[in-house]
Amino acid sequence: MKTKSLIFPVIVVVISFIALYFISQFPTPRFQDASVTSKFFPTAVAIIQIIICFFIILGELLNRKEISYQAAFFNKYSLFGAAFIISYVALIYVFGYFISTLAAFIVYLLFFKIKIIGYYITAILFTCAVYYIFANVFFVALPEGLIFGGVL
Amino acid sequence: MKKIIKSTLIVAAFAFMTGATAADYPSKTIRLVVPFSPGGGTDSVGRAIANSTKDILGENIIVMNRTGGSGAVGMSFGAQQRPDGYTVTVVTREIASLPQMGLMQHDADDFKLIRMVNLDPAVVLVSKDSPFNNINELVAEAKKRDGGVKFASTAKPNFYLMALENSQNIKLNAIPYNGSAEAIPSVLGGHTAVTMVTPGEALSQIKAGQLKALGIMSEERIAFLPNVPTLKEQGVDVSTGTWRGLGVPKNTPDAIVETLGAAFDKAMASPEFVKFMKNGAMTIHNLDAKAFTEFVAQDSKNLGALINQ
Amino acid sequence: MMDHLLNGLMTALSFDILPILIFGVVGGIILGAMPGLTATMGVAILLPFTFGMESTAALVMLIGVYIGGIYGGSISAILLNTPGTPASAASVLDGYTLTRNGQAARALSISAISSFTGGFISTVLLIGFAPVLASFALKFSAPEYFALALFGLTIISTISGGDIMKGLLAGTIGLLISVVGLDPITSVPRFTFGVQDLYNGISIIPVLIGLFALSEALTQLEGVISDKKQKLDSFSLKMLSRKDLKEIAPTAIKSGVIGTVIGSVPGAGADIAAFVSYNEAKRASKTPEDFGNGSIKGLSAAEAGNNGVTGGALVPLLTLGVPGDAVTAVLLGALIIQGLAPGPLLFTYNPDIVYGIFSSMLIANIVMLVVGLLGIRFFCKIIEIPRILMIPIIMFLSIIGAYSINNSMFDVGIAAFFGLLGFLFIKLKVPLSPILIAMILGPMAETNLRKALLLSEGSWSFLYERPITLVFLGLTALSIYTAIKLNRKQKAVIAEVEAAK
Repeated sequence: MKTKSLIFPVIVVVISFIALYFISQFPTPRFQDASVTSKFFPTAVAIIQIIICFFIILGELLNRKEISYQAAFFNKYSLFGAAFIISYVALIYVFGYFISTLAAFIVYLLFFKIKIIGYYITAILFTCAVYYIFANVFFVALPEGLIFGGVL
Repeated sequence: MKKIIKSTLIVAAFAFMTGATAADYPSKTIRLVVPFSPGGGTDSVGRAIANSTKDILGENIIVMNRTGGSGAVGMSFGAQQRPDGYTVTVVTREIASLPQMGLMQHDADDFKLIRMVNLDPAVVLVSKDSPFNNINELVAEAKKRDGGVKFASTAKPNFYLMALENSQNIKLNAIPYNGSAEAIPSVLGGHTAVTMVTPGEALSQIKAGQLKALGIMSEERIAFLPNVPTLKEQGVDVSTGTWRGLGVPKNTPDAIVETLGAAFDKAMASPEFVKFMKNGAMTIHNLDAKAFTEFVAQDSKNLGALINQ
Repeated sequence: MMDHLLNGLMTALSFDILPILIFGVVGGIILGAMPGLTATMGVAILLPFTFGMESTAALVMLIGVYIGGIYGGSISAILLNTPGTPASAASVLDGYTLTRNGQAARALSISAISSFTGGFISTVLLIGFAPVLASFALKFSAPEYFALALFGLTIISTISGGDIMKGLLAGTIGLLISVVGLDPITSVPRFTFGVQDLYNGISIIPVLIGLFALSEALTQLEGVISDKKQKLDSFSLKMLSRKDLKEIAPTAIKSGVIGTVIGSVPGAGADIAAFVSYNEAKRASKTPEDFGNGSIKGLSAAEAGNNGVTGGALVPLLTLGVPGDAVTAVLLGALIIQGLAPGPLLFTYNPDIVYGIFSSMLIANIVMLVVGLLGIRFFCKIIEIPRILMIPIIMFLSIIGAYSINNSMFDVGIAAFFGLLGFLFIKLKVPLSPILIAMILGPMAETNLRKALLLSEGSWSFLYERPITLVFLGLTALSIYTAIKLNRKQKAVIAEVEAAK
């Protein structure tokens, strides 16, 4: 259990060091810069971040009491939720707003084995209403999707 | 699922058929990509031209703000759209400068330029209490104190300033500000000595006497500020400014480009648009496709010389 | 002046204008409540419609949207833990806790009254002291902005609840994210990896949507089945009590003034005002440990602070002719389209327009209060919608909101990424607000520190030579002191509890 609470600060430390590497690769400015340069702020933040993580790791090691972390980060439903968000974004990219939203909403309702017809009607009404309001009231052209429009 | 895919394909095929034919253009809503955020000069010109053109074309024109990278994101986005005339992009002077600095992945050649809309010179401004009364006093002071005169810069790098610096062999301390909305208060508050913006951005401060115009960076005096002499009149031969125009992706059929060009000509001549530009102290400068393309090529060359010096 | 104002009020209340004003305020509230749609966007969308309108009607409508939009963001923040705009992110801290404790109506009424207080005070200050505020705002240069940002950033040390280290870590993560993009001083690309969409940095709103809305939806989804058969969360429709009103009044008034001052400084908007007001209320409080745990004072400070900006932001617009924030930038465009030149001459040549704006702001705030209070019953219905249906709707609206802010699928990707990251952080008990605060204030601090050094040609003397800078630096020190004291207090409480075991 103890190792688990250490993973996060260790990851952040690793990321900070990677960031420090990239900072050293920043190109030199072509225009004038202050004595506090474009590298200073990110470097300082990355170093402070490493120090903070050091304290967190130290705290975890010294703290003998077992803090009960939840057994798993994701349960079945939040895992579905995460996959749902990612696939919805991918779907919009390809098929555009309308088809993706309607499809995703129905898949969602099916996943939770919803048998209330009203919910499905809501899904259809919601999709259409949002489409209409954005296009005609807010004048936002919702994504058309790769297969209908151009590059996004 | 199969059904969805099938119906999708049918819809897709349908969209293809109705989409790209030039004969019945335009037959659906047109998007106008504005590469800057709502409220700025580019945005309001874009919205005004969209508003005036939509009745001429008989189709609605939606303004789509796509900001980022000083215009690079929006203009690159516009260049990559399907060349069917349904995505028009407002191109600004940044399309001539950013690619040469490696800050934009597309350039003017990725567009078919349709019309130039406005061309506005920069005006050199100091606070009303400033010791400088003309451009030569400023240049003399900058010569005396190398890098000592503080300049509120609305862009990084600032090509207006670089043009002056190069011609007079001087150096100012350019402090970067986020557009004229921050540069002007900085001069008003006395934190910086001088700034350069377009007349529309500072007309009310000049008229109210809060800011003193040392000179306008154009060949001739402009109508909005008839009492402000040009730099050339004062013996400093520098003219520079900024411009905006309209373009479509480079493979757009010529017939569509002509339809759009004719519509923009009418829109730019409409009383509504003329009044809008006059109120904003912006000068309509309608160049046709050929002249605009040549103009951009020449400006790219000029900017290239400044960038690569 | 008085007769101009009376005339303006008569106009604003006339049959031609009042409906437009109410339409603007209600439209603004709806826009503000939707994640991703902001007051700026609402005003920009309506701008072309004003081309053909008469000046007063056009400006009245836009001002209504502005005032409604900044208030609207807090409704979704309080009810759904999903701030509609960055300006209402500070309202989540206490507002949502109150809703979870079944006090949604109380929180909403406090929000409406505080927003009204902030907005009304700032309008009164605008009418009475615009020139004074303007000359104060002109004193703000890079050192002052830097010190103000620093003071705002210290809120991170007090906001993180139990684990101060994790709060600070969240803060540094936010600061590192805020560095991405072209460096504002030299245009050097930092962490952009050649991706053009990253040149302007990672936008705040998609991050806000991801961290708060999407991660909240995921968290709710996790518990959705176990809750399915349970009854709905019970909540009362009881609004705030007279005692509450007495308690929040001083905080609301003070935050309204803070919001006005911050608003009148060009470049600092409602989001910054909300966090700075919140920080100041917490610093001055005798019980700072309540903040973040459903403190009505905290909610009130954030709400009065962000609406306080509305009047302040018009100060530079009307007196100097430069916009104070993104919304007033669009308003500036509207004035110019109407052929009016904002700036000192507007007072001389078009006093009818100036006082028309003033009085419509006063009325718009009253309309906002009435709509806000009358709407509570209706807003609370949102919580009654079955969660299983509400969760996907929030997800879809969030994604569309992230798209529409810049018409960008890239931003949608950012929102989705931060949604998953936010969910992980909730599990790891890393607080989310510090990330957002750091992203809002970090760039302001960095840019202005470096700008100050350029202005002073390398000397650091600006840190102690300028009175306004000194005041903010002093407040920063006090704020850190409060944080340390608070941390000790909490540790003592924990030790006591453990000793009692």
